[in-house]
Amino acid sequence: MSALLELERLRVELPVEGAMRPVIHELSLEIAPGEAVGLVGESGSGKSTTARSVMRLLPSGADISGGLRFDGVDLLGLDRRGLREFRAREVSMIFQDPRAHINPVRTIGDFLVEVLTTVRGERREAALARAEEMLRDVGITDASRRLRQHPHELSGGLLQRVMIAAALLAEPRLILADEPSTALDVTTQEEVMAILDEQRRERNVAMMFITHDLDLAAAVCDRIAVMYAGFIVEEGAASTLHAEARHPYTRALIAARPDSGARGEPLRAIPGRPLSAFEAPEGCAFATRCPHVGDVCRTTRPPLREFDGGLVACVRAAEIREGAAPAQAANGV
Amino acid sequence: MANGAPALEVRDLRKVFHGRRGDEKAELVAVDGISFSLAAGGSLAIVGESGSGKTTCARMIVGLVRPTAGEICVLGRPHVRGRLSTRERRRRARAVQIVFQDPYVSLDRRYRVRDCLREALHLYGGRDRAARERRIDELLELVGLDRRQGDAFPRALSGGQRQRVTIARALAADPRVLILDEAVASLDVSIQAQILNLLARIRSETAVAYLFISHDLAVVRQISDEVVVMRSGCVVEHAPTEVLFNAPSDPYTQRLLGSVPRPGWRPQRHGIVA
Repeated sequence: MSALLELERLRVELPVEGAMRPVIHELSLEIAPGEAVGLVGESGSGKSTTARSVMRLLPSGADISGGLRFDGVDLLGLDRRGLREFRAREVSMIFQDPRAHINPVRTIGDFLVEVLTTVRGERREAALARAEEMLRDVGITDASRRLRQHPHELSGGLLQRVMIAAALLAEPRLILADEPSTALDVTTQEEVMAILDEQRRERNVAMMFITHDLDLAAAVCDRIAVMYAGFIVEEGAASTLHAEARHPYTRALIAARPDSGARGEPLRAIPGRPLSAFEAPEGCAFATRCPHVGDVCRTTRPPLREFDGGLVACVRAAEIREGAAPAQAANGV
Repeated sequence: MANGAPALEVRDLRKVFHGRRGDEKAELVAVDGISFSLAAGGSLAIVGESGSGKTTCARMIVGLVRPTAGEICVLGRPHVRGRLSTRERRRRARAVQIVFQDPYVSLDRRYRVRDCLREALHLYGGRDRAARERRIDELLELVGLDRRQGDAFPRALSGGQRQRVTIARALAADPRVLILDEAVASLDVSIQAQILNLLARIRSETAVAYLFISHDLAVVRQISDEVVVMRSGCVVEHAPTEVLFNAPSDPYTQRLLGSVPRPGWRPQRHGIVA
């Protein structure tokens, strides 16, 4: 299986007050054609930066190193023109807040046909007809009226469907979806995610799905990578990650969810707070909050290695699985 | 305290906002006659999606929005209608406090944590100085902040720590009712669990009652004894938490519960354009 998208020891640093600070330490990840991979993590874990690196949308002054290839093409070596082609044809991005990414003074129709007419040279009438059809595909019934409306006339859920339609219209091979349903109500989230999932599968488009919600990622992805402080700490099949989480952070994250235990029992909170990548200590980034931490964890950065059919960056993973690494009593309150 | 009276009682509460749509006058019924009561030391959640009226309801109870009709009783004493005097506002605030969603905007960035708590105590406490300083230490301890964090400015604190400060500030008035308006919604899961545990402990230690406003059903299940489900300004279901989660009777409640991601869940299209 040759990868469509390949991130090889990707490292990203951003300038903060004159000094370069790491946002992603070292990240290796592959996405096959048509495959959906979830990047799950808390704030500051580097998941959005990963997606923006692929789009080459990082702020100026950012330092990006390592390998970043799409269908064998080195994305870091693209010139302006090549980058424009890549963004217009190969990859689409769906953002959390559609209102911030759709021009408020243009109509929905203008927004949808822009890439088709400007980059692809399609005629406006033909492009509009395709846009209307696409709106129907994403569950918008009165599509012709919507094309004439402006973004402020549409609800958040409708506008996010317009975003999905726009992403699909470009017929990309990869969609980067950055928390596309986080700002939506839970019933609207279900609807929007069902549409994104269904349309992506039908068209065999690959997806990098960024979210803080492990269960949501598991529902629409084939594989999941869990991120913490600029590292991938665990990667595995989406269907088994919840039941067979191997990294202490993933396990703690699942256990901390309010629907995880019996009602009325205190939640198993993770002590401390999520670290940003630049705060990551010498050894394992999670060592400061880990209930299984040992001396070696504080000094050695654990490599992401194969374990139990997945990948885990924890030197004590085997002991923890056997129950041989006693968890220290940790209470976050 | 009135003996046996509920901490908070709301009867036929209604709010109509007047605005314009184009050239025509438009009315928006945000809250359409809702009633519930919250026992002393109890925990009731109002759950709903955006536009359900849950936040307007909370804002009416603290006095930030004037109700169009209906009655709000705190500790058996009805709220007076019409314009609020400063004295009446303070009296209410002593009994009912609110914690908002975003601690980044609800704290004054020029105040150290201790100063922020001191100001709240000054407003509601009327104690002597030494007692006030002791109370500040108690409050910091209660919400799990150390002395160093007490001397810090908000900018030096994380989101979870800031929310601890806003909770401490609300508790400074020693309220009987604490309204938590999406108070854990913007926090990371690992921090959210800490704050939920903290809130559970505070309730058991202080007998304050919680009115928990949220869109997050999992959080509500954890924190509340009773749940009111709102939709378009109306109550669609009101039940004990266990009952609501195990056997929801209203179709909308069922739909809400069904759309929460969980292991084995797949999103379904329901064909409703929101």
